[in-house]
Amino acid sequence: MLAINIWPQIKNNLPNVQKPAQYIGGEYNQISKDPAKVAASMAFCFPDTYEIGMSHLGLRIIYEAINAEDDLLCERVFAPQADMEAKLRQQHLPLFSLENHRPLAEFDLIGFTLQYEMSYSNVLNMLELAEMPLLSDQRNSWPLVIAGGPCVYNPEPLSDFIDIFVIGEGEQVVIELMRLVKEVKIANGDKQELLNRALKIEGLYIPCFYKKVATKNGIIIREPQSGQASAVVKKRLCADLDKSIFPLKALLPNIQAVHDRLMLEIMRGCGRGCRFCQAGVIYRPIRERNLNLLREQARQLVAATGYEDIGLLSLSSADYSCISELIDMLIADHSCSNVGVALPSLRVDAFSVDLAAKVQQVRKSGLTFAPEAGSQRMRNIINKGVSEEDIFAATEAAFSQGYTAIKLYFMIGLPYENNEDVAAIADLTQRILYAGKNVKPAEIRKPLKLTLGVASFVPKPHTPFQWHGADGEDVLKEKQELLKKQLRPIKSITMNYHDITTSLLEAAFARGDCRLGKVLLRAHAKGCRFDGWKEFFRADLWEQAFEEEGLDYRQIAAQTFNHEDALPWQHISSCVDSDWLWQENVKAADGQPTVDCRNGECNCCGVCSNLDAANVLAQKAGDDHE
Amino acid sequence: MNKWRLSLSLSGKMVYLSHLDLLASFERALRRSGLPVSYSSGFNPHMLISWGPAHPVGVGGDNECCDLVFTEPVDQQWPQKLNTVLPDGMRINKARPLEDGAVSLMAAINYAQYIIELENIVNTVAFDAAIERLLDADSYVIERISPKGRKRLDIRSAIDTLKLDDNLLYFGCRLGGGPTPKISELADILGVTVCSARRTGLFIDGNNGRMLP
Ligand code: SF4
Ligand code: SF4
Repeated sequence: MLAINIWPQIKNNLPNVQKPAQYIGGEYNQISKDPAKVAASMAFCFPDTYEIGMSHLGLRIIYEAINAEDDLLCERVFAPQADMEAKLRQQHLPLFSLENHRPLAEFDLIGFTLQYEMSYSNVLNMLELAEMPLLSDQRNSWPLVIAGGPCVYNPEPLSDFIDIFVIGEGEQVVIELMRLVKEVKIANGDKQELLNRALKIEGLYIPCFYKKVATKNGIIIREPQSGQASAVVKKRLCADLDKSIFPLKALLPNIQAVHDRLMLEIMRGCGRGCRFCQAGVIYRPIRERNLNLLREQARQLVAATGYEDIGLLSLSSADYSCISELIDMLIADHSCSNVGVALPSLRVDAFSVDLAAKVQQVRKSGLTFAPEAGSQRMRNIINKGVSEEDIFAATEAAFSQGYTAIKLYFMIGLPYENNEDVAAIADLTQRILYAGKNVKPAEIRKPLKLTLGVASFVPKPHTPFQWHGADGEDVLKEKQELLKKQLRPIKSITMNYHDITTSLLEAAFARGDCRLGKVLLRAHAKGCRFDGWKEFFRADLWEQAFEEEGLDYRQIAAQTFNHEDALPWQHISSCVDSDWLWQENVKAADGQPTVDCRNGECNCCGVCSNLDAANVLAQKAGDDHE
Repeated sequence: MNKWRLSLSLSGKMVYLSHLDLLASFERALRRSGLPVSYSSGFNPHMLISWGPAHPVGVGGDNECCDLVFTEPVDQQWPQKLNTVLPDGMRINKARPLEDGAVSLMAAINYAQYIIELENIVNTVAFDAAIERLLDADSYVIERISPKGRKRLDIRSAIDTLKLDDNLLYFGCRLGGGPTPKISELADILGVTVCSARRTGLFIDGNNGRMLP
């Protein structure tokens, strides 16, 4: 069988589209296989542009894991931009992969990664461009459509479109699934046979085996049709990161990616337990990579890519047990070849500023901190273990070292928040600025600048705040106005907000049920896509789509659940006990702290016992792997 | 003598890279090669490479050029080492040591030669007339629309020669004077469809004739 390759047709269109290099593939270190010579293949689809998708570590890991198997193949697909989409539609060309410019329908699996809710319209659009029926029950043959990523912890808004959801870390389970595809294909089996047999693989949620049940509080939940499907699907986890696969011959993007540097994953998970944070729950427990292994991986990555920066990736890199040692090692190994180290996520404390100084992360222009809330009361509620002293220690250290621009991230609309807490954001920002002026070295002439990113809180499933509704439009507007009134007169402070409609839609899709699928279909038909991009977002079309389905996103976003209520995502488990999440929610009400479990004291969130796993902390150099 | 002038060819998929992405790609290859490239001093050191005129996106190149400084003398064969780690479609075909005080490529190069492969020309009479009209005119103004807005440009002075041989259009283009047309704009003026285009050479055009840099 000859593999179809539509490169000649795509090539003809390249002179007439912006940034043609995003459609060509052939990057340095690309893995090329003959599709006719493998037993099962997957098109890995990132529902956003090339520049964003190529910055995503998850894609790199899955790509490496699958292609490391001789009989399996993974190729990449990104969402085409409007000009290329128009050409494809005019010329009846299907959406294609980059490696072999193969139509998506030629693969056995089409796999989407769901990183944020506002990319859902792109998922539908990419399926349509692939010339596939959108609804799962209208597709009876290959390829199957699967999805993974953090958003699958509430899969319901997409459950009419996706055949199989992969819950949790995908690098092992995707291989198991593809091996099953191989067996079923050899036996000439069909889609239904694959789905039946896939029930035996842990970590897969297959919606067609679950019925939709209306509850008394007006939502729809899922229950198994028969005894075969499990009532709760538990996440998958790579218990030992040191043994799991990591891409060491990283692909070099053809056009500059949003984060264009070498990606070294130093750990997974975070034990801090901020109560709004989904990542902090779903990636538990903490798993740090071994120090010597990281050193060796960095060496190989630098040699294979020629990148100028080593980015230390994790949810909170300053927390890595041997972070100072790691940075010293990497600088010692690579500074002579002008390769630097970058630390993308800083904690709000002086230690982090010292680390930043050590890596000379950027020209002394900017550092970013996320205190998240302005008042101590609020920071206690969200369990952000950061005191005002920490904040001033961090910002003063930064200013006194010569940084002149600092970015601060805050949230408004958090549970239990009142207007005084919001005003405290303005107050804190001003005090940071004044303190900064006092410590700024005299020789630096450039005026200080603070940039505030103020996001509207979006309650996420599987967090202690999952039961809370989002603040309404009016309340959020009022809170934004309050900040504007106080900070606008100050020239050296700039403020950026999130669009309220976008936040409320995100909230609706984060905690909504399967009825949202119909809304998505309508929104897509009306032309919604790239909703995360300000310039493409069409609030009016979304408004119409909800109205036509008789649903209101404002109401879904604002819905508050009680402890005993059924939740649309209750059949999916992060393996953190729901009772523990509730207990954290109760503690939040009186601002009681829960300390990071990395330091020994287990808070009994349940994940370690449920998965027979444990926090894994890196040892100082020389203990092992030698 | 640690300064070198090199000529690169661009083909295949690499021709679709923008100039900036091409530079990034070349620098990463240099880092992979382990060759002792010099860096600027200062807080954000960058490699000491200076390029000739940017290559237009979508256009191949037979002799794109840049100057490069090493920290120490290198073996004459160093381009081979770099070629093994360059992406497919990028290759060094010549390199020579550069004398001190040589004029920079950007300042010296003022002429480019292109070969443009055309689809079959149906109406040769109309095509000949279009070429004649263009070459006879003293000025030829086109409108260019970019994300930044509309611009009216007189591209006539950039056009030195245009000759058709079979399906190949030979285009000699003056650089550094007036605005230069893109290949697609030239194709529109002449009413032809382009299959592919290559910049075959960059030159220093002077009193003594046309020389390679
Ligand atoms: S520090 Fe807090 S916000 Fe950051 S990943 Fe950990 S739990 Fe989430
Ligand atoms: S079970 Fe205990 S140690 Fe494990 S992640 Fe939860 S709180 Fe931490």
